[in-house]
Amino acid sequence: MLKIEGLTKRFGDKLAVDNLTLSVNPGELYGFIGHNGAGKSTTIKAICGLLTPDAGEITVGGYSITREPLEAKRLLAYLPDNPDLYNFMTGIKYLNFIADVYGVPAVERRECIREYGDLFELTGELAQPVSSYSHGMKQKLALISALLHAPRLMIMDEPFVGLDPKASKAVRDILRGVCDNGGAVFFSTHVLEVAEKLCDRVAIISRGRLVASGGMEEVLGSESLEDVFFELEARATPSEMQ
Amino acid sequence: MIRRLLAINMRALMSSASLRGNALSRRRGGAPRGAAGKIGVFGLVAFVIWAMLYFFYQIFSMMHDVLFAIDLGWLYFALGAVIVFSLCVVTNIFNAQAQIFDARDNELLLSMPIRPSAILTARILSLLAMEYAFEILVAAPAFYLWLSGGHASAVGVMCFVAGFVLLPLPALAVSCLLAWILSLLTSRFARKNITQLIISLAFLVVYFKFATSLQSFAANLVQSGAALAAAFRRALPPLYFYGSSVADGDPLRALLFALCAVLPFVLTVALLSANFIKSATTKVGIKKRQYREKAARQSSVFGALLRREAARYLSNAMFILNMSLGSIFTLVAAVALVVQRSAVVAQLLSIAAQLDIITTISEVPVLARLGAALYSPALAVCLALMMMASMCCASAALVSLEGGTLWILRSVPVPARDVLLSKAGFHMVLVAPPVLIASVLASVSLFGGDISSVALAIILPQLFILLTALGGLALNLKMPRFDWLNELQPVKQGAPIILTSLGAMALILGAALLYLLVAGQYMSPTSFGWLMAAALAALDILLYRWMVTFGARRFDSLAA
Repeated sequence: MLKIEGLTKRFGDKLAVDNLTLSVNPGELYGFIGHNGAGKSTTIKAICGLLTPDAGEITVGGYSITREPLEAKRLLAYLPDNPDLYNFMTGIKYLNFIADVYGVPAVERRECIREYGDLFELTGELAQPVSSYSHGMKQKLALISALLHAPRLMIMDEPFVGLDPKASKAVRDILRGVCDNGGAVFFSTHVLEVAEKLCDRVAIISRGRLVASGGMEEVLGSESLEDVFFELEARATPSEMQ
Repeated sequence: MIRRLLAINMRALMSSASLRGNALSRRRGGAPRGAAGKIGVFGLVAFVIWAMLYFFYQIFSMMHDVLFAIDLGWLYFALGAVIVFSLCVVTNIFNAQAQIFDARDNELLLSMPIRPSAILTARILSLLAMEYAFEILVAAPAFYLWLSGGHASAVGVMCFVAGFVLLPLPALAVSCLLAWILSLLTSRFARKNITQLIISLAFLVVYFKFATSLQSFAANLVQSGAALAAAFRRALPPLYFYGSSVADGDPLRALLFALCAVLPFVLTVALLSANFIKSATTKVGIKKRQYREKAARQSSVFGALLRREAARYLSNAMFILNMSLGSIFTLVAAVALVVQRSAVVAQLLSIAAQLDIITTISEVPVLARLGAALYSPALAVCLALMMMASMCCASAALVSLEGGTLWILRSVPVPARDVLLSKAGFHMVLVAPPVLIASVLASVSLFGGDISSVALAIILPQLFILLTALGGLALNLKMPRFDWLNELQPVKQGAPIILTSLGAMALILGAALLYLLVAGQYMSPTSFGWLMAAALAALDILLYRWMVTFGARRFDSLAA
């Protein structure tokens, strides 16, 4: 579903992502773990076509994000870590805008909005302007908008930040449902517990380089994800910086 | 702390106007802008400064000769102070509201260990800096005429300099108080935008009424100078203190004026400081609208993009006012033309006849061409409509306004060219219909059955509007700013807006001069208009091609 080969991205002199290669198969929930500034968001933005890679190739469902961006974007949904939405619209207008852009038929969008609106307890707020929403409500609205066109691949940057426990549980169930229906989810997180419990596979990135990836058992062995993460982090950090 | 906060505010102001920073001085990728680009940009800015200085020079030269001749020199400076005061108040009310009460970083700064008065003072000082910039355009010609007229004394000059520093203070106090009242009023109404729009239009009407009465005041001054001066002195003693301190070189009156200027300013700052936290953070509860599920309707992608632009436009009264003022003027002028048709036609014919007489005596070809343009006024109508359309530069802010939400358009499967064309299309929707109505009304009133004139009056302004739509968008693509603190910054102070408006006006003036000085000897005004239409059509096609190719690539490369 998602294939990244040799992704490299620089910002001036800083090498943000260095020759990163990984793939996500249909049905997989893939966790992307790393410290602040490790290159997670850069990778995610490159996958969604928000940043142009300096080198490497990214394909979504077989479509190159650089050469066939529209075909690739139709298959995916992106949820940023801090979703700035259109404050000048009401919640329902925002959802209708996104649905129009993806060409979601009227009946399907109505059912989807009703289902997820009720699930996230946001239906009653949909006539309110987005500017009056809290962070968590914006996160929920962005999530509903991401689900409107039934994406095959969900790319999410820290999806659990700002969500209440109930919504967080609902999100976990939704993500599992996407994978069970043959889709895939690729998300970054700081919450190692969530990754450990939820993910089928994980990748750990440090200073732009992939330091470990694979199935949970393969990466963890007998250790916890937290132990593995800190061990790999320490190994990847140059000795003079420790 | 105030210095640091002031530096931040000034940096934000300057970067939005892009007089420094990456937009004007740097190309994409960080390379310095070329010499030709710099000369072009600064040439346009210099042109506007020159035009304003010239405008005020004309006003002051009229007043100077009259007032010093009848020994009312103090009134010369007092009237100058009135101009500075009104200019500063009107230009700063909405800036004050946006930068003091609606600033995006208010809550962040108030959460830090910074005194609210320091935050407020820094914001007020950055507004004061803007007022000095406006004031110098008025004060410089007044000062020059006074010096060259031989009426100045050393003490008078010192009082003038002190007055220059002090004059904007009461104006700023009034702006801040009105902005505060505006902020309180709009926060208490459910339909905030309409309320704000009505109040803003009311301010504008009052301002124009004031400007008109100032002109008639100046005209009456010649006839009954002493009586009017006495009335002025009784009504506005602080301005008399100021005027006479400069004209007579009286430091005592300068001191009195300083007291009158500083006191209201200090009181206003104290009042606003005491209420700043409340004003900046209180959100008056507005009745919650209940969501009722309606039958959804699927729309085209382009329609959705266009409606999105419309929703943003309607969300802020200041957007409506700034992006549509030219359209409002166009419609008002068109209706006035229909109502006053016979008077306007008679006036045009009278001026043309006078030009005929002058031309016969002096044989100045430019005046003959001007006369021809009035006898056959299609070109003049087109240029007037284009001038009003050049006040609407909506497209020049629409890329910057994406701000932190750019990720949405960049992550959805919509080609960049569709996004850009929806922005240019929105500009057309906003500006083209009022101008079209005005073209039709002007045609009915002035051209009768002259098909060529009617067609020109309709086609030429529309081609021009398309050019400003695409040109403004291209400039905003070249100089986007996403780091604004208040969404009014890209709309009111953005370099693309300023450059589009100035460029459009320069194009109109250039065309008028080209006809009067060169082309008028070879062709009729209407023929020149058609030639201009052909040139604009060619430019439109070139810009459209640029937009859907390079422009789309540029949009795709913007960092979301």
